[in-house]
Amino acid sequence: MKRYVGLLASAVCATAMLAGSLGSQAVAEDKKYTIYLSNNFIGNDWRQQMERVAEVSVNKGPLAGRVDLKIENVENTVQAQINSLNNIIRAKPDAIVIDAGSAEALNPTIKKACDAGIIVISFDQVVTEPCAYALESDWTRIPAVLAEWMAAQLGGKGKVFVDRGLAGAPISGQLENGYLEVLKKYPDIEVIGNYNGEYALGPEQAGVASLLAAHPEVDGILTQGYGSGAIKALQDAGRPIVPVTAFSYNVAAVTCAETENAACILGSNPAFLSSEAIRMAVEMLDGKPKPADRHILVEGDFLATDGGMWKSELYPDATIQKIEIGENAWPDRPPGLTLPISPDWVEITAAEAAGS
Amino acid sequence: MTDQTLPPATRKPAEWRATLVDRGPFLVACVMLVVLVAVYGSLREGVFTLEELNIDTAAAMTLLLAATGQTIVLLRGGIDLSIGGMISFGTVIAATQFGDSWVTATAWGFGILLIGFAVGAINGLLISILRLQPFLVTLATWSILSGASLLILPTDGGRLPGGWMTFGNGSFLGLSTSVWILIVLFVFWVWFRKTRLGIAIRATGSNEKSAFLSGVSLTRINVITYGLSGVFAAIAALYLTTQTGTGSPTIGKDYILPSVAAAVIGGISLFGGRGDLSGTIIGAFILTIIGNLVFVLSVSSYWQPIVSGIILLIAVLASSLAERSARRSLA
Repeated sequence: MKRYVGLLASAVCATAMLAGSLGSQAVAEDKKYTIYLSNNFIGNDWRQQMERVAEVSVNKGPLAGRVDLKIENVENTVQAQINSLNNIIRAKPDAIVIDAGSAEALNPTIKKACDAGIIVISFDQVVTEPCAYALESDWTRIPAVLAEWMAAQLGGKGKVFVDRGLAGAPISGQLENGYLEVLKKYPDIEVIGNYNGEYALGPEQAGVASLLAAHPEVDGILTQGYGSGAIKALQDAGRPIVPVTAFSYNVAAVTCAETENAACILGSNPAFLSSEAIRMAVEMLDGKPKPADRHILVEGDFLATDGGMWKSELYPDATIQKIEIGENAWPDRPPGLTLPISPDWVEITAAEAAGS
Repeated sequence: MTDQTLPPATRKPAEWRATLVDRGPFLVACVMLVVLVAVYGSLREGVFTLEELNIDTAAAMTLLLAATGQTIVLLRGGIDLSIGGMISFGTVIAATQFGDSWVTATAWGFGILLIGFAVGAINGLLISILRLQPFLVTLATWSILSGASLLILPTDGGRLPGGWMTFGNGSFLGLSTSVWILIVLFVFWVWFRKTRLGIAIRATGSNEKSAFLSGVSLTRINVITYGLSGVFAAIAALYLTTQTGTGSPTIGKDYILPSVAAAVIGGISLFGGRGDLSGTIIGAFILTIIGNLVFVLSVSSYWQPIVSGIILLIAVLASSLAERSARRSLA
């Protein structure tokens, strides 16, 4: 009898444990997490699309109902983001995903969040604090492929303008250096002018226009922005359209496709990095294995007017799509839309990404 | 018009008016801070604790230090935009030169303060000797220092010794380093405003001609006023590095206009001579608490600049009424 009681007790215990473990798994998968998105700047199309797709991706697909997403924008100052992060930490969320105003200056504050048990994933403009994950496009690959393409277009010889982006922004220095690293392998390519495109059409067009006044003999332009501002400046100055490198905004793709004799290559920094960061946070909170490396690279496809014809030797696995109206360039959609629009795990429509 | 010439019946209202003119804008700032803290306290737990004081003072300190220098310059009747360049420059020098030794760090710390004074003194000299507008002179030095910062450190980088960060974020007797700095700052000000120099700066800001006729050297006053502003910008830079742990070549510009706003909200007159650092302290805390309040209210963070703007308008209105009232009593 004693033995039966013992067996029965063991069976009950085992069942209870099994039920408990199943229950806790069910709880883990149903649990709703509070995630803050801390964004230091909202003044361009990319950031707005980034926030819209973050919201869309927690309202449908696998993350539907799993995340209470709170977005905190700050006024593009490090102090404001530090103060905002301190407020977020005091609210004790499960995770913070952050598009940072500085790669370094938020580190002590981010460390405080990690010490409070909050998962921190920086994306787009990432941070160097070791306790936070850094999810970003492969910024070594992008400028290298763009500059390699430019060198191929110029046959290894010519004069170019190089965009310096936004003064002081870490990404600007990285892109400029990425361009120059590859260009220096071609001694006959000379950088004859720099401008600050500031990732906006106006400054890009104005910057290229003023350089064209001093150096009308340019053979190529390596922008960090839309590229279409540079093409417009060339047209306004009555200059032939020279090869342009830029980033994959709809206006860039459309301008390159519709402008006669335009030769362009566009690198992609997808706006859905925010969705990827949120998904990564949810997976970690669900107890799935954490990434081995804190640095996670996202490799987006390139778009080029001669896509499919030219292959990168530096990065042979880089996919280069051909720019085609109706395929990856849409004249009737907002010019600032970043391509590609949707990650592969959730369907985000162009209308949702554009907020229209 | 002195008290002796007034008939007994009008003396009291005149005194009352003089006090109101002098302290009115400051009182308005105090009321705004009390209202903000009351609302904030009703929405978040633990607002009336030392912990909250430590957190908020740390959040406000860089702005407050920058605004202290700005206050001295505003009292003189000038304005200092170069603090933006000096803050960036200070963080960049600290992050590239401090190294790991306390001796080197201390030497460079004092070096940064000296650079701050030198930059300010140059501002003061240019303004006095060449009779240039403070706005334009300090705009130029801001630009020069910003460029120099970017040359030394093109993007955020460098590093600060661990001990330096621990010092800046530490606490003693339950009060954070930032609260101790606030106490030292206040004690300094209580002493400074009564010194001959403090009085001379205010007098020069109030009426340059009279101050000059009473024997005040305008060049000396300008050199010291802008020099002090440079020193406070340098202290702000040093404090900021304890919060960010890095050198930032563009970070200083974020403090220029807020430093003026904090001072004006606290009742410092843009026309010189009127106001007190205690008002600037209130102003810096108001700007910081607004951010917290917007966060706990869970409204769009765009409300922060809107509310800051409205508070600035109220402050300017209070100052303007005070000025008008002052003119009326002089008439």
